[in-house]
Amino acid sequence: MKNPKNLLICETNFVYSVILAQDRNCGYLLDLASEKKIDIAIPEFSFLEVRGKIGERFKRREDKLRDIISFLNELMRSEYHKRTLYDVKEKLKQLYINSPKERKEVLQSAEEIKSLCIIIPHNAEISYRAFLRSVANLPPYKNGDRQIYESILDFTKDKGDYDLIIFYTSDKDDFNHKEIRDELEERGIEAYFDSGNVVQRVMDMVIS
Amino acid sequence: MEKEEKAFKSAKVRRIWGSALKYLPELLEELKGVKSDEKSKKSLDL
Repeated sequence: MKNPKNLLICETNFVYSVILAQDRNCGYLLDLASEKKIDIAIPEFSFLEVRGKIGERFKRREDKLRDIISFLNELMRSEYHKRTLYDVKEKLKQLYINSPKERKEVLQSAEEIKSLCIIIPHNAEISYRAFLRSVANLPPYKNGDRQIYESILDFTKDKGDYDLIIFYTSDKDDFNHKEIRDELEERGIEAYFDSGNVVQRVMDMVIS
Repeated sequence: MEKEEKAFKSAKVRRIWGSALKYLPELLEELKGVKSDEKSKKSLDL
């Protein structure tokens, strides 16, 4: 008997759940993808969002560290502070120096998730459809979410060879709308907002 | 964190798991909308 083909579509919060060690279910699903038991597809837009956020956070840290080190330099003009603050300043300097290397490692992790998944491409037409969605005041209502959602709709247009297609997001507030649920249902896509339910559904298919 | 790392079969997933938590804990502020084990009703007991 032919093994069922299962496709799990995730978005930005799935990547965060894994790299921030927040949801073991997501790690487990990625494990299944690495064993080729399921396919996981994530929009290119989500990876760009993660990359942008990681870069911004590291830059913010570096800016703060530079300010603190500069302030310590001012304080250390006095002999008294020089003695007490020397170690603090050296440690902060080390943190500042290590920052680019740490940034590279975190970005590399996101790239490694990519290597285990199918990347859902983004293009101008998807952006235009997302714009039309905003004009029609259709959910999801945030621009990034609209871009992600439209890229998923585009990607699933010709995925009839899958026995099961799941869309999972933990972002219930932005994606759990009737219009979205109906649209996904029309395309035969099951929507889940709890990773535990996704694992259960996928396991039922993998074991059957 | 070590316990979770060992729970995954793939070496790549073990390496990825928690990499940002180690180097960029500030990113936890972005957790709004990110599912955590505590929040999941059916979390895996790996």
